This record gives sequence, C-alpha cells and structure tokens, in this order.
Amino acid sequence: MSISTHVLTEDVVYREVTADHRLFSRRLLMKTNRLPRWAEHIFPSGMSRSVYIVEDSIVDPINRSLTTFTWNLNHTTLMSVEERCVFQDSQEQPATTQLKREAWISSNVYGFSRPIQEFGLARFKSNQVKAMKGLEYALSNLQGEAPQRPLRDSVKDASEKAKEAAKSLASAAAAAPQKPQQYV
Amino acid sequence: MLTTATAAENSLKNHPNLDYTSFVRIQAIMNSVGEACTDLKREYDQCFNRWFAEKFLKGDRNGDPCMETFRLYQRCVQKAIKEKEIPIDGVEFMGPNKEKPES
Repeated sequence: MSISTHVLTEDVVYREVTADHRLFSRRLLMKTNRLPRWAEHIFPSGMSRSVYIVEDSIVDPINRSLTTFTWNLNHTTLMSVEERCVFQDSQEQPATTQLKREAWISSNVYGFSRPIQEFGLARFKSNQVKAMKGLEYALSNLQGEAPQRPLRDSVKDASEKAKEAAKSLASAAAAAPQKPQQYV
Repeated sequence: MLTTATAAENSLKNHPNLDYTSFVRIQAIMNSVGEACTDLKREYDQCFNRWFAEKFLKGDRNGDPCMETFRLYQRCVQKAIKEKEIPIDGVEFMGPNKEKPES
C-alpha cells in the first residue's frame, strides 16, 4: 500500500544508532514532478520529470520525538523546498502526538521567483490537508478503528517573524540576483 | 511529510501491546532507485522493521542483526546512485537544518 502515489522509489542510504540511543537515517526518495499547466509551457519539455529528495531523520525513543528534515536535490532553480517536521508528545493534550511542520520555499527563476514561491507555498498549505488525511488513514489501520480524536490543525502564520528573518537572510545571502525567500 | 509510514512508526510508542504483525500491515511497499536492488532492499527493510519495532523502540541496545543485509543492499544502491549521477553526496546529516531558525 502506498499512500502517496507520486513517490516512485525509496532507499535508505545511511543509518546509524548513536551512543545516546537515537536512530539517524538518511533516505533518498524519487517522486514524479507534477507541474501545473502554466508552468509546463514555460519550462522545456526536456526537463527531467523526476525529483530527487533527501530525508534525514532522527528517532529519539527516550525523549519520544521524531524529527525529519527533507529537501529536494534537483529542480532547485525552479523551486527549492525544505521542510522540517517534529513529532512529540503533546503537552496540551496528554496521550496525543503533536506535529510541528515548517517549510522554506525559494525560487531562483529570473522574473518568476515570486509567483513560483507563492505557488509552492499554496501547494504546501493545501498538501497539509492531504498529508493529515494520509496520516489519519495510516493510524486508523494501525489502531484497528477510526481515530478517537480527529487530527487538529492550528496553522500559525509567522509572517511578521518571517519578514524579519527574510530581510536578514537576504542581506547575508551572496551574489547579485535578488532571491527573496518565503517562510511559513 | 512524504510518507506517513514514518509517522505511524512513531505512534507505536504509545501502544506497547502492538506487535510486529500490526506494524507490518501499514508499511508502504516501495521500489529501490536501482532496479536490481529492490529485492535486497525489501530483505533489509524486513529485517530493519522487525528490529525497530521489537528491539530499538523497546530500549534493547544489543547489537544490530541487519548489518549484513544492509551491507549487501548498500553496495547495490550506492552503485546505482553513482550510475544515475544522483547528486546526493557532500551534504552533512541534517545539514541544511542547521541554518534554519527555530520558529
């Protein structure tokens, strides 16, 4: 059963148990690249349809957390997406798991970086719904019944904080072309 | 979150009574990027999944029963990565994460 039909291959390329009993893993994933119609016209059809993605993860069974950091290896000029997920016990709702998910999206296509970033951000936000449904499905199979509590979503818009961060990063960034980054 | 299997693995911690067979039911069946490596990958995955659920998560620190199957799988997949010129080398573990501020 594959929850995400767009992920074609998955490989573990590094794995280690550390002295403090954490599990470090690196996975290489290959996905199909689904471009919206308007982007298909702009980009050459020769461009590879596969996206390679790396996912580094740390499982900490003692502190009860799972952290993943994911980014794409190719198509980075078009769009670079980095995502961090942290799963932990929820403090607010005992006996439940809290997921904090963050993404950093940038594009370096001359003249199009802004709309591409907006698209990426919008897709990230809408994917949250799909991702949550997938997670609910997996959990309901695991527990043998529908989840007792529906997954709750509280989206924090860190726009003010992000603007400050973007300004300082933009000034620290090298070279000429303007490359504004958007944060969620 | 590209696959939810990883997240589901984490939820096992809240259910000490679940056994390996329940865990296996929700694993995604994926292919390797190296076509010739898929069988080796599946063999490694089976070994790892069992060790992960039955040993690692329960605090058992006694060795690694999957070392040999991992070695065989890696030999195959690293070769495929080189052949396909996948630009995976040279990034420190969790490397890009280090530059990211805590929000």
